Amino acid sequence: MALPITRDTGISRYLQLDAPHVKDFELVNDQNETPSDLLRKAKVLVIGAGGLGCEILKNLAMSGFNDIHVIDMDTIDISNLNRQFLFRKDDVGKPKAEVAAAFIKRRSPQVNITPHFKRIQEMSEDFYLSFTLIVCGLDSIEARRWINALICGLVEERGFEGFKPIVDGGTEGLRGNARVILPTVNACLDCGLDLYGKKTAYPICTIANTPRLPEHCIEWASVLEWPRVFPDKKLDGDSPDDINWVVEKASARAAEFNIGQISYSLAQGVVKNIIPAIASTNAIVAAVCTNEALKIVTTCNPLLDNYMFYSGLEGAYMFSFPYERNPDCLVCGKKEGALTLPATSTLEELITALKESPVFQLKAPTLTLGEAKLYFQNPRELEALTRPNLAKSIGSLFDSGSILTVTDPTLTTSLSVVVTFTPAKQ
Amino acid sequence: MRPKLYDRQLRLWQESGQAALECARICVFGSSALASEALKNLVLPGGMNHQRNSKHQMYHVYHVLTALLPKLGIGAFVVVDDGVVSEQDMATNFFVGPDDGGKLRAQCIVQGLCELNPDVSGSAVTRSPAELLASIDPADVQLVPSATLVIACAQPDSVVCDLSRRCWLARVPFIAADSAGFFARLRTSIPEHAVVESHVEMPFDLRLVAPFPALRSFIDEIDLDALDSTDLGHVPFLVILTKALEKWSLDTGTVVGPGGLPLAKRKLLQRQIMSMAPTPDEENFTEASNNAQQYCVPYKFPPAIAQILDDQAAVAPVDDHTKADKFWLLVRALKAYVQSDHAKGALPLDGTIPDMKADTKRYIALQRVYKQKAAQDIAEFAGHVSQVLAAASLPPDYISSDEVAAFCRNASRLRLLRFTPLHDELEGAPCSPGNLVAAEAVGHYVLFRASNRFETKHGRYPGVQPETGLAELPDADFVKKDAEELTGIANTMLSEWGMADAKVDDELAMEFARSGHCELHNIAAIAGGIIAQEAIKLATRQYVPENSLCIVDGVKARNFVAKI
Repeated sequence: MALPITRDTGISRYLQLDAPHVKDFELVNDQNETPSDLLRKAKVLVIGAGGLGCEILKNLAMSGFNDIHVIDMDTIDISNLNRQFLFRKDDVGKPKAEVAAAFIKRRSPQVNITPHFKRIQEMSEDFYLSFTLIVCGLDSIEARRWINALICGLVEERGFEGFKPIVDGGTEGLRGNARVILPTVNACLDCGLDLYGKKTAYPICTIANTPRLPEHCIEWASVLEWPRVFPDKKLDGDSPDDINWVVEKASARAAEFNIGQISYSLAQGVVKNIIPAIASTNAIVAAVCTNEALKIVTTCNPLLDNYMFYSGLEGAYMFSFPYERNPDCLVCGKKEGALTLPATSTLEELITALKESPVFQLKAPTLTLGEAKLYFQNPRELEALTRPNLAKSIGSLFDSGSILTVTDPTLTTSLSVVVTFTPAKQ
Repeated sequence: MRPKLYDRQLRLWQESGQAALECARICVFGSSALASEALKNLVLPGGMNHQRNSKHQMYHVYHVLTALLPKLGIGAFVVVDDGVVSEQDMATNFFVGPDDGGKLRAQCIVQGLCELNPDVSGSAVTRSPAELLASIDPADVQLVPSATLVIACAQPDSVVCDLSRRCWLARVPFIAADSAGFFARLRTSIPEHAVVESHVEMPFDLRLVAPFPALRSFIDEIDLDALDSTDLGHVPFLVILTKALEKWSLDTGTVVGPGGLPLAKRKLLQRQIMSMAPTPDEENFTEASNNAQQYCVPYKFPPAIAQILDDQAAVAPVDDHTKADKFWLLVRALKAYVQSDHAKGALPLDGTIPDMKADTKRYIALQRVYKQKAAQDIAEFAGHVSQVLAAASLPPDYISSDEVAAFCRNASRLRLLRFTPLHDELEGAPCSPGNLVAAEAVGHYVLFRASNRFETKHGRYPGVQPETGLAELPDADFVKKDAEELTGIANTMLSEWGMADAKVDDELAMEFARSGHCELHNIAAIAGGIIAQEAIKLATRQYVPENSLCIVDGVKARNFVAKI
């Protein structure tokens, strides 16, 4: 069939010429739409306007996407400028989403770009339903899990109308990864939760009693000393005064125990859990993500199935493999977790297990058993009312095999957890 | 300001790497999206700082390139290209503006890039690379010595070969890259690249089998039988592990072989360790048991380092380069160190130990044992460095004590990369076709080469309309016909290289013809990111660059890498 052929601007070739690697590539679909129409009509949500987000926005605009929204709750910090290339020194303190959108608009006036200086949790379900796909450039696992849970929930509620592919990228130093999530079709983000690993956690008894590393002294100063000295003030990792206080306290402790030097940079790194980040790695990962976004919308080449890993530590290694769905996934699988603990464990220990277990990685779980409120994180009155339960043994609160209902800020819906008792240790 | 601005990258390459990056002078041939994207990732981290580079050094590059054009602003990076901004550029090259159509592209991107970082300055040489190189005597290697790195983006083979040859002679790292639709190709070429701070991840060097004297006495001074259960719970695992291993060896008459303990024997040892624990889940005893496999192994000299010590350049300096090259001088000192009575055939200890369950006092004392041994090794090594420098008639401070210490600490992580010249490859066959086959990269590689041969023959790339060029797209039959011819050329080339067994996949050839050798923004961004990472590794001499070919496949979202 002869189609009107437009100018060859690179991308147009891929929208108008046969795709040898795609079996059923359609130059016109049954809705009488061409791949060019699909690209023009696609409405993309970019979550995060940081290191990855700036790259993602640029790439989408330069790939022919026309309708782009970007959401980010952050403002620009000086330490962003070594990679977040849509920002300048004069922009420090301004909202990332707005400055990034304005820059893209100046460079590509034909693109419609809408910024949202908001938290993702503030937006309605209808907002998310209005997009064709979502591209995430986030540095927080918590935010990733939240959006993943929401989007997986949309498919279940609404079927195809709620089906929103997610492309997700992440980097650390010279390494990074990208994944394509087709909710309920392939592995979701929670299926591979253990891939993300956990923040280095130092045991509290080490911090309190047997520090060995400079990091232990910094944790002592920031986690134990700070709340004791300033019970009403949160430690701000970006405040030089606060970090200097930590450096001073940690240095004193380090000197007492003959432990090495505490630098400002190390202290801030531990307090903020800073992950090294550079422009080049962000460029690679973001472009892999947007290349997949282009394929999802136009079908011009097969999709990444479904996980890409990059490492520049030794050579330039980029590999992709199909990460399997987890039938026990808490979000897209059977939605029921299981936990085995001795009956003598306290409710607090159970909560710690929910936070530390690689399967759950919850942040602040609230627990109920049928009508019974076991523990509530908030409001304050309910927290106070249920707090005495924390010290009680779980054996005194419920029977083995009970199904607890758990809610948590990382989840959009509640989760059932079966708690089975093991014989107590001698 | 600066430490804050560069905080996230200083955590990767420290001040030393940052200084090297800021002192870099980079010359880029080409100004398409590929060049823009690569440069963006080098300008942002503050590479090519104009204050760190003397005007004289940069003027030299500029002077030769512009062939005596009047002096303009001299920057620390130079972009050479005479192209003008086309519609295609405005669609794919982020660093040209919406109103730049028809302007000189190199000037546009230099301006856009310099806005990213006020510490960096660049300049454009708006001449055709081919014509410019033709005007400079090929024997004049002066073109490149003052550049730290040369990058060619989307340049014809003739330009790439010319640059590769000049860079090779001047021992300046050269990266050539181009793309064809969803595919990109990168090739690094330099005679030799040595890395001291490779950051290669390795197990800790603890030397528990045959402990050095200070570690020996530390272990002997702890009497496990005399400790109560609380104290026992705080003994560092490596003391427990060493004691258990030694007692068990004595009791069973078992000597630990070079590969460590076989599984069955290790299980017995682990059982013995746990039987010594005051409670069944004592953390430090569990650590001892879990680490039995990794650390119950006699010291093994790393083969990669043995190879470096046996290299001709370490045995006898062969040319002017190796005579005064710091790396090889240090390698010669290391060779002497290893043969000394002090070292007894082992490399210097780096002195780091893992964190482990232990009380503060014992852990710090143990840490000190290792650190002191590492300091002694550095002192011994420094003596050998002095002798090597004296023998080479070089001043004693030719290599700073910081450099000596850094080399010593990284002695087991040294990496030496030797490349083959890209110009020889492009004028003939790849040196190691077997590696291409093993990397499954034959198809992509030969199709890139065949596309260039097609272009030489027809004056256009496969899939591009003759005459109308980019003004009109070809039809499906036209693309198919070009793909068939491309496959034919590729198979001929494979025969020429003695690789007739390898055949080109039809679908892959179709995908190349479909591309019309166009640049797509996403692929330019991926390849630009990789070029920048490789450039940073080469310029900072930290981390390990790819040796030597990297093909990006955006269809499959993976790379093919091979030493060719």
